[in-house]
Amino acid sequence: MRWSTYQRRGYLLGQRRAIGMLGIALLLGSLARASFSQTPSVYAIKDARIVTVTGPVIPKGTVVFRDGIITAVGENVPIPPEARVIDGSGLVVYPGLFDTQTDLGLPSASQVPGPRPAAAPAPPAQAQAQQQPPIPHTQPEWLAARHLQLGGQRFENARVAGITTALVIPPRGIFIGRSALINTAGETSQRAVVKSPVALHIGFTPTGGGLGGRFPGSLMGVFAHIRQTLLDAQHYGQHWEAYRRNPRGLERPEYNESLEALQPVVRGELPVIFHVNSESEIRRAIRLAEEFNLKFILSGALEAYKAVDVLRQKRVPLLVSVNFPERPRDADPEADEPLRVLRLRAEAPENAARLHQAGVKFAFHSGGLSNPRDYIRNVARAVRAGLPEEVALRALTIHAAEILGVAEQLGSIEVGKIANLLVTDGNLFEERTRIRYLFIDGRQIELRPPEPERPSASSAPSVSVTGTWNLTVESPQGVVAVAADLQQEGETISGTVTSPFGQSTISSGSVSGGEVRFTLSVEIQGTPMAVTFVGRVVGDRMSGTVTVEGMGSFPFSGTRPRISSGGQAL
Amino acid sequence: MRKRALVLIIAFGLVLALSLLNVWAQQRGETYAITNARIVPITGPVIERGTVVIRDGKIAAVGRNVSIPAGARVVNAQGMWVYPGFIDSGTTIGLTEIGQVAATVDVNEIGDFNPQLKAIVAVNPSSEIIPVTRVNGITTVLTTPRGGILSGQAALINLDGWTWEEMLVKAPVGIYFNFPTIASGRFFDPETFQPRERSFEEARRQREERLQRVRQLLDDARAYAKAKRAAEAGVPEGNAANIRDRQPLLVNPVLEALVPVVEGTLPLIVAANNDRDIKAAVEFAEEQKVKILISGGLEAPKVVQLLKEKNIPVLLGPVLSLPRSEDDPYDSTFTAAKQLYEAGVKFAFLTNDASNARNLPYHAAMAVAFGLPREEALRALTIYPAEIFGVADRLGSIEVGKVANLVVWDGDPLEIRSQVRHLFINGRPVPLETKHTQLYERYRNRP
Amino acid sequence: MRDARAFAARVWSMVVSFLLLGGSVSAQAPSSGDDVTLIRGGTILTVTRGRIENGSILIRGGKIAAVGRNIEAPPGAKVIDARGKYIMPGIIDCHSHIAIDGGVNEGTLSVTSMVRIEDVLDPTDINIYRDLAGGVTTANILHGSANAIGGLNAVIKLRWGKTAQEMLFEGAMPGIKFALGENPKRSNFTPPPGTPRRYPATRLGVEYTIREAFTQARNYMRQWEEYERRKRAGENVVPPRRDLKLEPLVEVLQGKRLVHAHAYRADEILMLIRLAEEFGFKIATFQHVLEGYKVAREIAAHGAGASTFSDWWAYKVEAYDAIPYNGALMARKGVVVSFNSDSAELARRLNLEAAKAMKYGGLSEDEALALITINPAKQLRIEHRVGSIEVGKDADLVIYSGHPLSVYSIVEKVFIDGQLYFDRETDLARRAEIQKEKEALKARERSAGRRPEPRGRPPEEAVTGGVEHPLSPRSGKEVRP
Repeated sequence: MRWSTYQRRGYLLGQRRAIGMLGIALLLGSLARASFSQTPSVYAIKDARIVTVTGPVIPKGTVVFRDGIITAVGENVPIPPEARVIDGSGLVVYPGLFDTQTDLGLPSASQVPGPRPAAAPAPPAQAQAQQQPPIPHTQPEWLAARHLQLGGQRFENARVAGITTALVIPPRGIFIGRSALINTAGETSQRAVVKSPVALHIGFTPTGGGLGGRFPGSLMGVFAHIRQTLLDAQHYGQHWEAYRRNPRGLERPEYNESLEALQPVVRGELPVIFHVNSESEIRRAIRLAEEFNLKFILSGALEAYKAVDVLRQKRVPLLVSVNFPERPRDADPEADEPLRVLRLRAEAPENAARLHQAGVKFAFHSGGLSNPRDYIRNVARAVRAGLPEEVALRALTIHAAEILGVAEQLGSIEVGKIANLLVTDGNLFEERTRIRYLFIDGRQIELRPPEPERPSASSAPSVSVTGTWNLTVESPQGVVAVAADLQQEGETISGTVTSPFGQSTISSGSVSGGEVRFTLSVEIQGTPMAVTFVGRVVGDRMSGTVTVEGMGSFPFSGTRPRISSGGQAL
Repeated sequence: MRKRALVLIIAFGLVLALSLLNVWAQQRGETYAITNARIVPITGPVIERGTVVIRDGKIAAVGRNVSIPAGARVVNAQGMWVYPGFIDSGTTIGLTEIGQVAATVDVNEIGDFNPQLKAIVAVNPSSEIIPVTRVNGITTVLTTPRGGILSGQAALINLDGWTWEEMLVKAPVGIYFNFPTIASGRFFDPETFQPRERSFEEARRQREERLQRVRQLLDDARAYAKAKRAAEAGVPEGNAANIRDRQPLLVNPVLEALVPVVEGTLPLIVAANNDRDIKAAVEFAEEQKVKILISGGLEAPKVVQLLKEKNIPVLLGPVLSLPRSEDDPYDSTFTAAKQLYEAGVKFAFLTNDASNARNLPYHAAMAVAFGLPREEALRALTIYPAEIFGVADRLGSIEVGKVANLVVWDGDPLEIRSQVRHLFINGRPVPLETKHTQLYERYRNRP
Repeated sequence: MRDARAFAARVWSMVVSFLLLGGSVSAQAPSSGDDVTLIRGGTILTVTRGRIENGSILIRGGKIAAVGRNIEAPPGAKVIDARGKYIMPGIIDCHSHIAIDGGVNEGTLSVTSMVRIEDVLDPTDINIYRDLAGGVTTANILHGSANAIGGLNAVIKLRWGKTAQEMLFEGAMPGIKFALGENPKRSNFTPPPGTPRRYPATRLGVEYTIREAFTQARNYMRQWEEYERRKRAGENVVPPRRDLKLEPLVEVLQGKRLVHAHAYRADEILMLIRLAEEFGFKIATFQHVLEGYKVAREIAAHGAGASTFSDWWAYKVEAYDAIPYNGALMARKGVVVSFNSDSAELARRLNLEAAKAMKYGGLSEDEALALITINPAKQLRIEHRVGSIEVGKDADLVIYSGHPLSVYSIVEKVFIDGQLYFDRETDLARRAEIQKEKEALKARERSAGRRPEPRGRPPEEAVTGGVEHPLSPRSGKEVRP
C-alpha cells in the first residue's frame, strides 16, 4: 500500500506536471495523510526482552505505542484492546539505530553541491582587471531538507540494516550546507524530517584548482577561505545589527544568502560539523572552531584515538565513522605500504574502544559504506576490538540523539519518545541475528530481501555481457571451470551455465552499471542448490564472487574470448 | 677610451697567442712531467713523491724514479695528489644547457623507440657545463638520451675538445632503455589535466604491453640480423636456382641499431630503480639473451644475489637522493653502494645530472661515510666504469699507455674543501677557468 | 565457531597492541622537563665563540646551562660520552617545504597572503625525520613561489613525534613569502587547457602586483584609522570588513612580519629593495638570490639577509648566471648569508653545503658553519634562542662522528631543547622491529582476507541486519489491513 502510494506519486508527478506543483503537493499531502490514518495506530510488543538503553533492560516486558509515540514500557503494562499485538517471546526490542552521517536521500554527488556564487562580498579591486570567479563548494544556505529524494533501494537497504534515523549531508565540499535528520520511512520530506537544520557541515576538500583553477586550490587556501567567510559572516551580522538599530548615516548592507545562513553559526547557536579523519585534521578543526568560538562536532574521526588528549579536555562530541580503511582490492600486491598505513588499518576498529576508555563521547556513522549492512558488522568489529556492547549500542542510539539534539524524541525506548523500534531474534551484534520487525514513527515497515546497491547515477546497463564466458571458480576443493553463455536484453540476463555438474538454465539475471548477477540451480549429489554469481564486468573480463547455497562463497574470474568477424576466437 | 682599446688589443693578442700555442702544442705532441706528487694510480699502490710523464696525450711513464724527458714542461706537484680523472656513469652533459629552456635541451626525442639516435652527434662542445664539471676532476662522462622507452645510444666523452669528435671516447656504449615500470595508483593524466587512478591490473597490463613491443622490436632485429648476414654472405655456390628468391637487404636504421644488442655485443643500459623492475629487467635480459647494465639501481641492494649471480653491473645513483619509500631507512640511498660492494656486485657512480655533475665525488663520499671502503669508492669513479664501458685499456687508472686524463688535487678529492690545481685531458693541460670563475672575478672586483 | 573467531580477533588485537606498544616505546617522543644532561669530552664548535677541544655541555631544562672544559656531572645527570666526536649547534634551514599538507602553493591567485602554512603542517611527514637525521633542528617552512605574494610561513623545530602545534618555534617572528621572476610570471608553467592566463606575465607586472597589494594595504590601514576616528567622535559607524589578505601586509608595513622574498636576478632584487624602501619596510631575506653577488652592496645597504643555495645553477634562465661563489662573495660584502635546502633531500647534508663556501670563495670554518646556524637564526630573528652553542640558548645540538665539514662525518645524535630526538643507534636497532611489525600486520590482513570477512560476503549470507525470509516478503508484506 504504502509503496504503491509512493509509486503513484511518482507517476502523477511525471504525468501531470502541467497541473502545477502546488496543487500536486496538496493532493499528495492529503493522500499521504489519508493512507497514514488508515494504518493501525496502536501496537503492543509483548513478552520481549526490551533494551531501553536509557533504563535497565527489561527481560520480559511489553512496549505499547500509539500514533507513532511510545505510550508504555514495562514488565506489567496493560495492552489496549485495539492494539495489534506482536508476540515478542524470544525476541529483543531495541530503539531504532542512527546513522549520523550519510548522503542517503540526497541527489548524487555530481549534482550537489554545485558551483555557487562566492559567499564573500566582492573583494577590493584586484591588480588584475579580471573578476573573481565564484567560489565552488561554498553554500551554507544549502538545506539538505529541501533536496530530499525519498524511497528507493538505498532506503530499503538502510532499513534492513536497522537504520531508522539518519543525518543526511553530502560528504564533500567546504561549506557543504546544512544537514537534516530524517526518519528513514517517510514518503515525503515533510514526514521524514525530524530536525532541520541540524548543523552546518564544513569539509576541508580543496576545489582541485591546483595551479590553474579557482581559489582555493590548496588545503591552506581552504582554511583561509573558511576563515575569511566566517569573518565576513561576523561582519555581515554586525553591519545589519547596527543598521537595524540605527540606519541613519549608515551604508545599507547588501543582503547575502550565504552570510545570512551563517548567522546562527557565528553566534554559536547552530553547531558546525567538521568532516575530518586524520589526527592532524582533527586538531586543525578544533583550533579553527575555537578561533571563532563555534559550537562544533567532529565527524569521521577515524584517527580520533590519537587525539584523545584534546578531545577529552575540550569535551568534543564525535560522530565516528566505522568505514574502516581497507587495503584497496586492486592494489599493487608488492607495494611497500608504509607502517603508518598498516597500523591505521589495524587500529581503526579499536578507535571507538579507545575513545570510550578515554571518556570521549561519540556516536557512530557509516562513513559512506556502500552496503549499509556493513554498518552494524563494522560496529561489531569495534566491539570485538574492545568496545563494550552497551556503549556501542548507545553510540548507535542515545548518544547520537544527544549529540544531534533530539534526545527528547529519539534514541531510547521511553514513554513519550518516537516509536522507532527494532525487533530482533537475538543480540544485535551477533552475526546470526536477524531483524524480525521494524517500526519507524510507530509504523511497521516491510522488510524486503536485501538487494545489492546499484550505482545511483544511472540504472542503464553500461556494459554488454552477451557472449560465452570462460570462468574459473576457486573453490576450496580446487579450480572449477565454468562456461557461461549469456544473453543480455536491457537489464535482463538469460542463458545457460555449463559446469562439471551439468548444464543449467539461468533462472534470473540482471546487469546494472558494470555489475552482473545471475542465479541458477545446480544439482549436486541429488540436491538442488542455488548458485548466484555476482561480478563486475570490465571489457571482456569478469570477476566477482559466486555463492553456493549452504556451501559458502568463492571468488571467480574469467574472460570472454573476442569473436572476430570470421567467427574465430582470436 | 684609447686606453681601453689598447687593453682590448693586448688581451686579444694574448688570447690569440695562447690559442696558437695550444694548437702548436697539440700538433707537436707536447711532453709534460708532473713531479713530486703523491700518485694514486687506482690499479696499483700509491706512489709517494712520484712522477708522471705525459707524451702524445698518453701516460708515458709513472713511478718514483722516472727521469724527466728533456724539453718536458714540468708541473711541480709538491704536496699534491694525482688521480685519474673521474668518470660519471650517467649524465646528459652536452645535450642540455638550461633545463627549463627547451631550445637548449636535446634529451627527449618524440616517440617510444629511438635506438638509432646517437647522443654523440648532438654534444655541444661549447656548453658552459663542460668546464664547470671538469674543473672538479670529472674528465669523462657517459651522456645519454632519456626519452621514450628505447631512448638512443649513449656516448662516453671526455670533457674537452674542439669538436665532439675530439671529445669522443666510445660510442655507442649502450642503448638507454627506460624499463617500463608498473605505475599503479594516483597519477596526473596530462591529457585531461586531472589526477586519475590506475589499478594495479591496468598498470601491470600497460607494462606488459610496452615490454611486448620491445620484444617485438628485438625479434625484428634478430630477423634483420639474419637477413643481413645472409645478404653479406652472398649466394652460396650451386644454389643458383634460389637466386631469384633473394631480396637485396633494405637497410632499416632502427633495426640496424639493435643488431649489436641482439648479438650480445652492445648492452642495454636499463634505467630501473625499484627491485621489482630490476628483477624483471634481468629476466627480460635472460629471455632475450641480451646484455644489460642497470642504471639507477637505488633498490638494487634488495636483489644483490640475482645481480651477482648474473654478473650484471650497476651504474648506481644518484646516491644523494631520498629513500624511495617511507619506511626505508633514512640512509638507504647512502648505504646502497656498500651493500653492492659487500655482495660483490660491480658498480660505478652516476649523478644523472648535467649542471651539477661536478658533485660526483660527493655522491661517492657519502657512500664512504656510510660504510663503503674509500678505495672502492675511488675505483667506482675510475677503473670500474672504464671496465664496464669497455675502455679500461684507455681510461680509469694511471698506467703507462693509457690516455692522460689526470687531475692534480691539493687534498683528498672526495673532500669538498679540496681544490683541483692542474687538469690534463687527453694529455693536454686544461685551464681551470669557467663561466663561474669569470663571473666571480668580474663581480668580486665590482667597485 | 563465531566465538573462536572473536577469541582469535581478541588475541590478535592483544598481539598488535603489544607490538604497537613496543614500537611506541622506542619511537616515543622525548618528554621535556627539568632533565639534566651532560655531553662530555667532545670537540665543541660553538660557531660564535670558537672551538673548545675536549669540552662539555651541560643541559638543564632544555637550555644550555654551561659550556666549557671542566664541568662536573651533577648528581642524577644523564651523561653522554662524546669523546672523539664533534658537537655543533643544530642546523637551521631557512627555506624548506617539508611537512606541508595539501599543496605547497596556493597558486590560483597572484596574491595569497591569506593562506597560512601553520594551518596545514603535517607532523607525520617522514621528511621531518630524515632532515632531523641530517642535523636540522629548525626549519623555515615556506609557501611555494607560484605567486608574487605567497602565504604566511611557519618556523618549526623538528620535534619528530609531536603534534603540529608542538613543533612551532615558540615566539618566532612571523613571516611571509614573496616571489619574483620566472615563477610568479609563470614562464615555465603550462596552465591546464581552458584556464585563462594569470596576471602577471612579466617582471614589470610582478612589481606592479606587489605595489598594488601594498597600496591596498595602506588604504586598508587608513580605512581602520578613519573608523577609529569616527567611532571616537561618537558617530554611527560599522567597522570595516576584516581582510585576511591585507592584514599580513599591514603587519609587514608595521615591521611586525618578515618578508622572505624568492628572487634570482639582480634587477628584481634591486627592484624589491627599492619598492620596500618606498613603502617603508625591510626585506628580511632574499631567498635563493642567485645573482645576489651582483648587487651584494645594495643588499647589504638595505640590511636584508641572503638565503641561497651553494651551487645550484642552469636549471632555468634566471639561474644561468648563478655561481657557487655567490655565498662567499655576498658574505665578504657584508650580507648576512645562509645556505638553505629548498629540498627535503638536500636538507640532510647542509653541513656539506656549508663546506662548499670554503671551496668556492674561501670562507673560514666558522664562517662556513655560520651559514647554516647563527646566520639563518639571525635572518629569522631567533638568534637569541638558537644558532650557536652559548649558555642560555636552547640545547639544540648535533653530535657528529667527525668534523661536520668533512664528507666522512655522519650525524650520530640530535638534541632539540635538550631532548634526544635522533639517535643513530636507536634508529639502527629499530629497523628490524619495523620490518617485523609490518610483516605481522600484513600477515594479519592476509589471514583476515582468507576468512570470509564481512565485507567480502555476498548479501545472501547476510548477517546482522539481515532479514528473516519467512517473515518477509513472502508472508510479511505489509502487515496492515
